Amino acid sequence: MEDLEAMSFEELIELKVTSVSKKEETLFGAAAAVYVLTNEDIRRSGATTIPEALRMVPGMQVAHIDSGTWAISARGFNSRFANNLLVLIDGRSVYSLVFSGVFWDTQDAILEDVDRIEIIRGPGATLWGANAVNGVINIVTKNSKETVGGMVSAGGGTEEQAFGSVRYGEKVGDNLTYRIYGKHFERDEFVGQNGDPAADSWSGSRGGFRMDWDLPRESSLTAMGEFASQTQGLRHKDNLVLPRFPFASTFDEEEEVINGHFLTKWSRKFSETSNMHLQFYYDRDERDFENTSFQILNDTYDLEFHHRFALSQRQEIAWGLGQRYIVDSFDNSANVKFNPRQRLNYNTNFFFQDEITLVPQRLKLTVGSKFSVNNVSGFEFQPSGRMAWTPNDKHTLWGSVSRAVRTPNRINDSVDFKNRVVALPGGTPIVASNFGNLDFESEEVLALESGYRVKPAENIFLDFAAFYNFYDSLLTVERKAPFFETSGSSIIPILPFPFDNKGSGETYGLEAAAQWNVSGWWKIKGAFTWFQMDLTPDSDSLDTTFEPTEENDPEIQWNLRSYMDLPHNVEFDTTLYFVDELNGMNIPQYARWDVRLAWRPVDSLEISLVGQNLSDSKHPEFGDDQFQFIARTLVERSVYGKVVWKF
Amino acid sequence: MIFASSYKKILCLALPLWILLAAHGHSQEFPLEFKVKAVLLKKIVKFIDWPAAVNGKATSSVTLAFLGESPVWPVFQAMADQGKQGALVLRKIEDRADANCCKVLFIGSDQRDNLKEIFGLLKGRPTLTVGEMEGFAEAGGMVEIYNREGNIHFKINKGVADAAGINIRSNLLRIAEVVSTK
Repeated sequence: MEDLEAMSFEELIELKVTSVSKKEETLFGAAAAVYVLTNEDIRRSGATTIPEALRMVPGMQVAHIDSGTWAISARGFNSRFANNLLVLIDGRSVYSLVFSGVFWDTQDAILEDVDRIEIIRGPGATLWGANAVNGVINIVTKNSKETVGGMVSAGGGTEEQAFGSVRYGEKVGDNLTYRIYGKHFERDEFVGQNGDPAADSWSGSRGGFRMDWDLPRESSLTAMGEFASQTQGLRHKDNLVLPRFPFASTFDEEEEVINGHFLTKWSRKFSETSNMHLQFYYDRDERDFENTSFQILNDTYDLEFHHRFALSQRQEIAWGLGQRYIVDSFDNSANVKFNPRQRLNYNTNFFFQDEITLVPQRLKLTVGSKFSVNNVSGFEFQPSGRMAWTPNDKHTLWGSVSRAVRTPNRINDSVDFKNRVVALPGGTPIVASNFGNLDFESEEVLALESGYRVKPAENIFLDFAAFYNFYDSLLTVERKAPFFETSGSSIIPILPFPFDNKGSGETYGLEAAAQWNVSGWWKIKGAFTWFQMDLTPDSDSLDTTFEPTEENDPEIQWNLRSYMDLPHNVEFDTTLYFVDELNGMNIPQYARWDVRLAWRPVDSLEISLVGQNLSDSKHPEFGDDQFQFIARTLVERSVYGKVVWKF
Repeated sequence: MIFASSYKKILCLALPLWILLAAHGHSQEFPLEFKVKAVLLKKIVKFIDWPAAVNGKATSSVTLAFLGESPVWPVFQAMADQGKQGALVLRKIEDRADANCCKVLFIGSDQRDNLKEIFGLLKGRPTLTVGEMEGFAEAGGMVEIYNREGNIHFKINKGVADAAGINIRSNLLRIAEVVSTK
């Protein structure tokens, strides 16, 4: 209680995270490494995309590969096709079965309407499902009750050439609110290694709606939908252009993406300790690679049910069921083929969790497991046990043991990918090809985590987390005997590299977050990450590229953010980020300095000026790995201005 | 295999504990929602200025009366037991006719059907009406403290407060959701 009294209005209003147990819980007592980016954090960071906002989070790795492509992971294994995170936007999984990862280019929203982004590092599989190996990112947009009225924002600058969004929300009758919105952006290309344009400019538009309807008996219905279209340049490096030698060349690809979704959720609250929801969504993602005539099409249908109730005063049960179908289809290109070209994939899951209060208000144990069956790896179980001890309102100590899996994707089990040309001893060129393996199993992690949160003073909050992860059955690329493939009149020598599960490894690290409310007008936040990785191929593995990837993640990262409220409604915000070198990719360490100056002449109008990457004129953030294909691109210093008008 | 065996161990430890705890326990703690509502109300009151003389007599203390049933009431009682109610004087009233007794009137959610009558009684009187039922502010209440998807927010109906001669300071209005009567 004393704790609550010391909080400001804003803190009281923000109090809660829903992710850890999908219910109200204070961040302070959570038995997991949770971090919340608030709407204010996002606004004051000057970030224009969700990936850029994630840089602020301890333990997260965010690297710009080119203007519209990111490598994003938590706790290691970062790559363009990183596959250890589960990302949800308003309860809709944006995981792609193609590579078990996220196409970050199309995960966008009007950032002013994002209520918060909750990030849970570590396995969150018990509640959230497969792929939550190293973390769950839960992006929550505002209820339409909070966006009644109009908003127009527009701006432009050097990299953010032009952007604008329009939103209008209204209350209809007593119980229904809705909003409709649209957004457009045009982003400039970055530069290549030699200072030449990187041919990676991109632009896109999206439009959508959200409706929230309060029904009798404390139930509510939410419906939302969105449609988006994007065009993006990609400079492919040494990609194969069959069928003639020399096979490989660097060329500019154009990717057209069309996607959309519809989600509806019905919730009902029975009492303070009991509620349920039923949710359905449909999501379509279509990607056309114009110059290689390759196409990916995914249709996802998902139904889930959740129920939470108090079994006794000391036990709270949460359980749920889910069924997902993904219908995929590929238009095979000369060098990327999927076999079969189309497939119906399914995942059926059940989860159960019991939160047990051992000592009221002080000691809490949460145990549970997710059980699922999918069409590729079959039955999976992902249990976890978490304990949180809050000796008083100023300290929380927590620990957890959990297991999670990364289930096989379409690339793992059914690709035929002519990756690159290599030379055999003697100099004969041969096409190195990756092959999917139908026996590919899930990658597994056993994670041990612990953490400590403390409020040493009323205005200081510190959050520490440590983890030790044991990975097994990690993906390796094995080698088999060469053969000749005849395709029409040409005969292609192939050196096959099928996927297998012959890797294991350990990672460990420390993460810290701090917040210091220096005074009513000045707030400082910071994050620090120390990360180590040790990978070992099995003794019978022929993969020589596996072990070196342990050098692809930064050992040290930190950021420091200062938010100042100056007189005359002026805000001055600065952020400094540091990312250590990536030895495996030859990327030097870099610092990034962002500044934002905003002025609100009247309550309804905000004018801001943002400088990003001010500390150097250009720098690379991510390098090549064997599956990346994008020519090295440098991130440039940039400036943009923005006006937001609410009415 | 190392994985499988460690899970068995965890299960072996957890299962008896779970069975042990199936027995009911008792907790005196109030749900967080109502604690937050109480603390918010305590803070909100500090940003309210009443006309110099309320109900004929000028007082510096603020009496907070509860009418009807609300889970926020026991939280305030507990605060008072620990002497942490601040400048507030607590009162529980049973009769709607007493609604104009105090500077702050918290109207319990069971009074939904009586709102019109209560607001009628208080018309023009400087009593700050507070409620947690949905639509309270739009219906003519001054401060609505409510739970929206697990976060506690508050709405202020400035028009009604103005009409009653109650001044709500601008720094509170800035963070509140300001609504008007339908």
